[in-house]
Amino acid sequence: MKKREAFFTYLFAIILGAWILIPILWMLLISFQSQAQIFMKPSLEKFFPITLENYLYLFRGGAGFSNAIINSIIIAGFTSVLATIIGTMAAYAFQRVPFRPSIKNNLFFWIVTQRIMPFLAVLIPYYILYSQTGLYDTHVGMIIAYLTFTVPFTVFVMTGYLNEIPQAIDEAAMIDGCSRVGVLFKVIFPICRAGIVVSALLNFALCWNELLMALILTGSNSRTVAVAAALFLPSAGRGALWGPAAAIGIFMMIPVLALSMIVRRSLIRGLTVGAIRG
Amino acid sequence: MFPTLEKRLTRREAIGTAAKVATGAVIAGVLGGVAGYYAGSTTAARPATTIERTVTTTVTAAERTVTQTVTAPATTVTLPASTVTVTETVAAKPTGAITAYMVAEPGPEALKNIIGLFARKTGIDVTLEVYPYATLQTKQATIAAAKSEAVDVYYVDDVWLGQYYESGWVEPIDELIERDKEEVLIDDFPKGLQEGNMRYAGHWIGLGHISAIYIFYYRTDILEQFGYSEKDLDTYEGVYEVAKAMKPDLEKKGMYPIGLMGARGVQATCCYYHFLGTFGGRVYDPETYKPEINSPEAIEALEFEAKLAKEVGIPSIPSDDYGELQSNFLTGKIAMMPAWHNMAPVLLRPDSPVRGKWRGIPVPKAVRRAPTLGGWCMALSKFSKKKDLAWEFIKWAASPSVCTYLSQYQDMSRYSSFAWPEKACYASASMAMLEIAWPRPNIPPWPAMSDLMGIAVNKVLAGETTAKAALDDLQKKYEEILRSAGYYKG
Amino acid sequence: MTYANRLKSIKFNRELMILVMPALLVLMFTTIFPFIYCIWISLHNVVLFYPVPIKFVGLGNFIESLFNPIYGFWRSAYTTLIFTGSSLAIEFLLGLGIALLLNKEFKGVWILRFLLVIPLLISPVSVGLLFRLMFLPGDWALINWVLSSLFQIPPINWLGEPTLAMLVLIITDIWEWTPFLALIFLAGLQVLPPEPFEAALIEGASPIKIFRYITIPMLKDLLAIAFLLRLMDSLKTYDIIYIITQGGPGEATQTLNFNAYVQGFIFGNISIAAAQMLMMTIATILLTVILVRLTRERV
Repeated sequence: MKKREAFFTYLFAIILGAWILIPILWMLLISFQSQAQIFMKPSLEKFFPITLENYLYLFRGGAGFSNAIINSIIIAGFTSVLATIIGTMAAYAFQRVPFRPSIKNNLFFWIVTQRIMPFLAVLIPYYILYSQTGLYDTHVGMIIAYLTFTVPFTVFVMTGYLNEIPQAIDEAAMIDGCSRVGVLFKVIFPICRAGIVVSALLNFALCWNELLMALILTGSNSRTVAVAAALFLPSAGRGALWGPAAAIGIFMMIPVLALSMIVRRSLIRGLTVGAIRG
Repeated sequence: MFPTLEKRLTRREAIGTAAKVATGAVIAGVLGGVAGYYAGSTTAARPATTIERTVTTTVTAAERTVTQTVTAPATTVTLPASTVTVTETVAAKPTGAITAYMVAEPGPEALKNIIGLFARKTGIDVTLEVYPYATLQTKQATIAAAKSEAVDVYYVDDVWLGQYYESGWVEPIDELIERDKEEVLIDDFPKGLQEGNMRYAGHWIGLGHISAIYIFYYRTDILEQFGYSEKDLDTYEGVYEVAKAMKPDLEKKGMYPIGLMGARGVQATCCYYHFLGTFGGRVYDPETYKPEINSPEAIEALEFEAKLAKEVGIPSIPSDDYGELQSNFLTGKIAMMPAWHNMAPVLLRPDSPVRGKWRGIPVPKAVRRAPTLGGWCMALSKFSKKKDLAWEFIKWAASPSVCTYLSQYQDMSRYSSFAWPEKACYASASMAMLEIAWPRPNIPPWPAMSDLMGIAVNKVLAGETTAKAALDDLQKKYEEILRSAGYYKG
Repeated sequence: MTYANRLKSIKFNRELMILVMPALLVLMFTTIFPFIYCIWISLHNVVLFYPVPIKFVGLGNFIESLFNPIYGFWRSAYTTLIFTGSSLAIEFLLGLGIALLLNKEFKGVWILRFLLVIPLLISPVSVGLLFRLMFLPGDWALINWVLSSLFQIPPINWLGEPTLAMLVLIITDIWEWTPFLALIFLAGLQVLPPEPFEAALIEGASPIKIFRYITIPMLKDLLAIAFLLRLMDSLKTYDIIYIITQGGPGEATQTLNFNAYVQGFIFGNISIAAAQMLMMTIATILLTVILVRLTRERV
């Protein structure tokens, strides 16, 4: 039994790995090919020689990719941290503290609708709002805009994790002399560490990839990397720039991969510590 | 249990650290390699000397013969890096800053290379932002609808002229053109282009920049192989015959006689619009605005296009857009195509597989020649607070010397910008076609109608419906749109 | 609750509220004004590209959207049903399966957990272009090449056929977003207290029984929440549709959101577009409410 289970486990693991890796490896391949090579049938000529022209295109002036990456890191980073903190606290408040049910439901509802509303519907008023208040094309403006959907997301997700933790744990800690806030930080956070880390990571990824809001609410100062990548979309005078699009896809992964490597250890630590021991 | 846990932790941590070091090494390596290559190549690409080139060319277009001598700015024709010698030495003090939007195509992107010259000459700092077509459309519309002064110069596609003017987003430049006519040299723009891209409702709206006109490309070597010449491609009947004759042999080599653009979107519309005009049809009556899109001519045009696609066309036509058609020709998969003349610079590059093996000729005729007109102009935002600075920029970016420089990357609107010897294989056809251009409607409801047309054409090419059914349906929709927009009173 | 405890919780409420209030205020400001504006636009007849005198039309736009086929509401609703329905169902099941798989401790599992994060980090533009390139018709494109060289299938025109184009979109969406769900579920599995599982194992229950009677009920809330999250995002999908099919061929892949975009920004009927998006929002809220009621015993 054990062996069969192990066999299937490894089989699925390999399939999963391939499913994720193959498009990425292929993208890596394309990023090193010239426009003509991309359209050839697989042959020796297609893969050699490799060219760095796509990466050079990224750095050659005008598009400001290095700026864009820095902007994205700042915006996504701050938003992710802020949203996780605010969201977790709010989720805890909803979950544990007995508010009047009507207030709780209303607030919860309002938070939910923020996520549902397509940004397309509020594009123009958002632009008007931002240009009147001077938030257009600023980092602060983007962070605020992104908080509008990351906080609800965090509240949602953390509510789910908190539901799994029975109230008994809170009360046990409080009997031991912990204050409410203390419970939050000393007991809940460590248990939910995995959930918090995942929320933070996903928030970061959501902000990193967000396209529509960044397109409309940034100019050249706070342009994010998702917008910069949009330059490679097909335009009437030329086709899509497949090569540079692949290059920026690969390049974008690097800073965030580094980040998640750091986070990974925390994730594992969160897992092996497990639930309350003693 | 704890000892094994600890061991697993440390082993994992060890692997983790190793992985981190490895990743760091790879990143460092890639960055180092890229930096090194870049450092090396910058010195390699810059030529030792730059030469002044004087180019004289004679152009015959319709009934006029134009001879012009143009001194092109000193450059080298190696893409993508080029150098331009700065001959102006005036360093003006900063007098202002403006923002201009353009579409993300090779021309405007090349403009970014030389934008510093403008700043040095006039002291005006220009923030030039380029976006792909749909992004530009959405962004400009949002900003203009908000009456924002954030953008001073709009890039207006010819089909948006009506919208932008009627919505009050752009300022007519009639007096400015009159005042600066020595600089603007309005006669350097082909008449058809002036009417279609730069004027609306009797006013001058902008100066033409990127130009786009339909010409007919064909592979000279392939046609020679089969014993045909250009004369056989003078009418679409002829084109069809030649294609049918070539088809069996070409297919054996994995090639196809004809390529078209059929992917849903503005390109499919332009392609069919070309056939529509060629067979004598039109979208609506210019006096009454009564749609005529299901007239016998229109149906014949669509049926002919479908016939071409089905019998002698490359199978991917229903999903081929601009880029796909261009690469089909570039990689030698098709032998002929009616397409925008601004595809040519890519086909002329040193690394192009079809370099030297093709020519561009006037589009074939049936009832008449109808090359679809496209292109962009630069217009002044009505809400801009720096209109005079913006106008300086527009004049400069549309000036003969700048346009000639940019036309190495993408064709511009001025006659003089065609003066490169490399363009000889298609320049005269392009200029002739620009004179007799077949412009699309630019009334405000047109983008909606254009999208519907693209959908209908795409459906017919994909075999989902017949030409007559699609066009009858389109006719009904057009009547409704034009009626509710107040144009058609029927 | 004892009197003392209730006092404590009231104090805590206030503490918490003070902490969270400024953030909530800012959020309210940036969300309420655009929302109200959107409602206002949907009740008038604003058109983007030609100056039509603006007048109040009440529910006119909503009625037009529902009954006039030229605005494509029902057609795109159907398309959305197919797209969101299929991709959501598959992502959900796959995500759960992957989470279960990665919850086990086997050699090298951390590599997979790490890989899982990657599809989320690549810009949607790159993902879209990547998949479009893979599925281009022509026997040099990856998928067609693999099919033709391994299975001798002639090149398929993926993006030219309505059903196939939808399939390509669904596959792209699955590739991009399954890791998202998988990570959420994985963290959820990690947080589960081990006692019930240990007890069940001691009692000799089979893995399937454990899954059905312990895992799923404990994860119920999280599953519902993740499902709702993904539902809301999937309805708003725009990037990959624009990049890969532009809504085509014909109108086969034009979902509600994309249709509203076309109506609003290409045709200029932003009032109709606003009305459609409001209807979509209301429908989603109703769905959410029903789902939440069904799964949550306590709030």
